[in-house]
Amino acid sequence: MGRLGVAWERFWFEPEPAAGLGVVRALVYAGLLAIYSRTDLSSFGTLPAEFYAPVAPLRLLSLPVLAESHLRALHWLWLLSLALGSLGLFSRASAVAAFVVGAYLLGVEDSFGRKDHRDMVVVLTLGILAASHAGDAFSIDAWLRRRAGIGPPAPSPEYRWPAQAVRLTLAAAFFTAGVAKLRHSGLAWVASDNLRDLLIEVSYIGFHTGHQPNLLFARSAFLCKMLAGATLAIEVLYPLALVSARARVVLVPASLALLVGFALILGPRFTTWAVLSVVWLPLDRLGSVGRGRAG
Amino acid sequence: MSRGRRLVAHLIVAAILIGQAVALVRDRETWPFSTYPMFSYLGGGPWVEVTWLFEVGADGRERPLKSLSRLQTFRLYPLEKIIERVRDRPDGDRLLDKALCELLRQYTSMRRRGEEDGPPLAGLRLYSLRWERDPRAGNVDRPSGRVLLAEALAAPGGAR
Repeated sequence: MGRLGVAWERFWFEPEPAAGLGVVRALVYAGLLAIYSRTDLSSFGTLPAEFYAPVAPLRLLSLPVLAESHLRALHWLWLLSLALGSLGLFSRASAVAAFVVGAYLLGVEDSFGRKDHRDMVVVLTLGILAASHAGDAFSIDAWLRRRAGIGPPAPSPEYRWPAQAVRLTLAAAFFTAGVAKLRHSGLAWVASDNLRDLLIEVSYIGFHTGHQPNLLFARSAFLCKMLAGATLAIEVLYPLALVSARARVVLVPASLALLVGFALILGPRFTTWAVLSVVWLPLDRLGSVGRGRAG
Repeated sequence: MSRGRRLVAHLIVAAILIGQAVALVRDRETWPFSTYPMFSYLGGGPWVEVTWLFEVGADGRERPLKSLSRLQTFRLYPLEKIIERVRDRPDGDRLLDKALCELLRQYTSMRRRGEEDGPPLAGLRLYSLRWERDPRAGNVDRPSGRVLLAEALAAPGGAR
């Protein structure tokens, strides 16, 4: 195995304690439960068919938009699976249900033209967790196993690759967003008055709300250019967090600040991305803490 | 970790990498892989255009949609993407009118069932609004012009 192969192996499959991934599972499912329990996904069953353009998986599988009552039942089932997933009860089944039902519901939502793409990384993350052994620690299932006399699992690659895959998903999303800006606008996205114009435009998009914090920032052309430069730098450099601890310390908090900024002055709320960012917690240290508690 | 499990892990990682790379190279969304193009195009220009749905009250007055509380998509987001998609289809304008009629019918029946607590609506109108760009956005409540893209009006006595 060459140096590249060794690095690949170490990146994905270096053994880790189960507790770190267990903590991520519990926090991610709990965060998504908090977000999506306040979203009415059943209402899409009432929208006119003319507005429906199914996303590729729904089209390929010929999956229809269910009636409102069925969508409501599915939404409750999804929330239940997220709750069970967070608690770590029936971990495997709840993770699979959370992925399958969540992918369908979020696919239906995106089939009606939602613009902000906040859910796609959620679908990918649910898929990764469904294929993982994230319920082996920090879970009721683990507690029950321990009571039955079964010892905690040994450190394993099984507890590293899923967290790395979620990090990769987030990194790819940020990086792609940065590339889109460079591809469509070049460095003019930073060097011109683009962000300032954009902030002003947001006032017109939200013309009916009267809420215009964006205009405070739009007053300074210099500040707008600085913010645009920082945005682009964070997005394009984000993948470095995968391989550099120093970059991680800077880029992950900066990306969270970026998401807060988006919500405050541009409008779209990427709260799901912020929730998924728990995957950057120092899982090896969480592992040593978790072993003593719910291991 | 068994060889089978290792293969599963590799397949998932490969799917993520390939899916995202394909979306990136083609500059086209393949759900659940996106190119995240929001705000990536240069703005500017002397005009700003926004497509928005208005409700027509029983008194005939128009206001930006506030009812249809359960249909969040139509209240919270600019509608350009979804509208363009319908209008690009053959017979798109008629489909758009039909869709608004259906939306109004849904609202009225939900209201009758007590699932909507908004006022009775006499209609829905979809406008493309146009403003002359003002650096202070002081004219947001006074569009320079608007174009009616589609409308649905309740039959007399049907807006109860």
